[in-house]
Amino acid sequence: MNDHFDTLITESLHREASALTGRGAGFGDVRRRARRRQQRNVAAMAVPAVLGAAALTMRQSPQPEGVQPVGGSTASTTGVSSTSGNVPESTSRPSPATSGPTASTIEMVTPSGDPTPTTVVGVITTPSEFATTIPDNVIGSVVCLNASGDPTFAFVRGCQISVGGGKWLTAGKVSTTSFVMALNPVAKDRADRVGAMLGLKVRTLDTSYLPDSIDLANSGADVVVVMSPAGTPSTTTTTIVPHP
Amino acid sequence: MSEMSIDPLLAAPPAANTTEVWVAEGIESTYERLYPRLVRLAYLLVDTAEHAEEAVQDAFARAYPKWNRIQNHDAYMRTAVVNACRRVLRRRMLVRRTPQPRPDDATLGADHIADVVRSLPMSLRQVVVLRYYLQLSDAEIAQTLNIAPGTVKSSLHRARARLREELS
Repeated sequence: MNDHFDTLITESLHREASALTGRGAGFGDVRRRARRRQQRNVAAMAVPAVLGAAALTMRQSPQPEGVQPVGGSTASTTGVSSTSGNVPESTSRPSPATSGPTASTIEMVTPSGDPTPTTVVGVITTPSEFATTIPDNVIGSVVCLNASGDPTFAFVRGCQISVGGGKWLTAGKVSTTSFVMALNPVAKDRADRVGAMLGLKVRTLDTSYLPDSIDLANSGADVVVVMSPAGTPSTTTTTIVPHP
Repeated sequence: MSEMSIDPLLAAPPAANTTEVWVAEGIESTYERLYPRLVRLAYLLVDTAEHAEEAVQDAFARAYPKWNRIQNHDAYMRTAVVNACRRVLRRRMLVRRTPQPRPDDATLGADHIADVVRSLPMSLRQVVVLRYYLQLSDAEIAQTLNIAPGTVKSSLHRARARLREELS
């Protein structure tokens, strides 16, 4: 009796399912949904970042072009500031930190006429400091991981490239070298550009570097910069065309 | 009993020696491969084709950023789709507190058992669909729904009793 009844249910469900005729949506729909979700996540996290940035800006003396000042060659700065508007094509301006002998600016520039706003997402302080101006659609979801094994590691203490408003996280394990990883297959291109911008190699994803304490995937992050004292990002000026 | 075309990939977790191939598979090809079957699974849970497709796409969109970190894509997407169906039903509950007839209710008489399955509460319906449509074991259902195997057994028992009562 039981078997017969089970068979009836099974047959019925299969008949019902096979009668379905869907429109067979393509993968493009999924990509659009994923992008919208990511944008919502970024927007949700950008609000506290902007508020924090505003508070920091108010506490500091005015600086040109809204970019945070960077301290002396051994100091680190943890400020983050935000502004919007298009950066002209091929713009590459010196950082306010150029007082230091090794400081330079890295800017990622939108193509001429591209309406994508550009956001100053942060300031990285290194032994050779540099500021970073990045269109938010390019690496608005980059997270820095301190893989040096030293919580006072000066480089990452100043690292402010992060979707979450300027935070670095402790990596899951120590690395002897700095590098970039894409958190998902579609971010490979972005990871390549971040790697090129920072002068770091791009490696395949090794989840053991990801911290257990936070779900990076749900944070909207898709590129991770793993930093170690060896091979910290170079400071060459780079112009990168954003993701289409 | 007529021959049932149970999809082996949906019906069971991958064999150990195929895992690497699956991990290497991109999201787009997985989408192409699983989409029709997952939509059918969702259809049995949410009862409109539109909502079923919505649930499957939502599940893939959520999996998209973390695709590289998913070990067993098929099992993961199966769970993701069931969760997406729950979200669809929850949203629907907010829109209307009382059940309304489906748009294609004219065809309902064609398969009374499927209709009765649809009338079950979601907690029972999902267990019935996973068991009888995907032919999953108790352990696999428990893993998919993140519930205890004992809960699967008791849910199936209650669901069967309800179905018998409705169909008698």
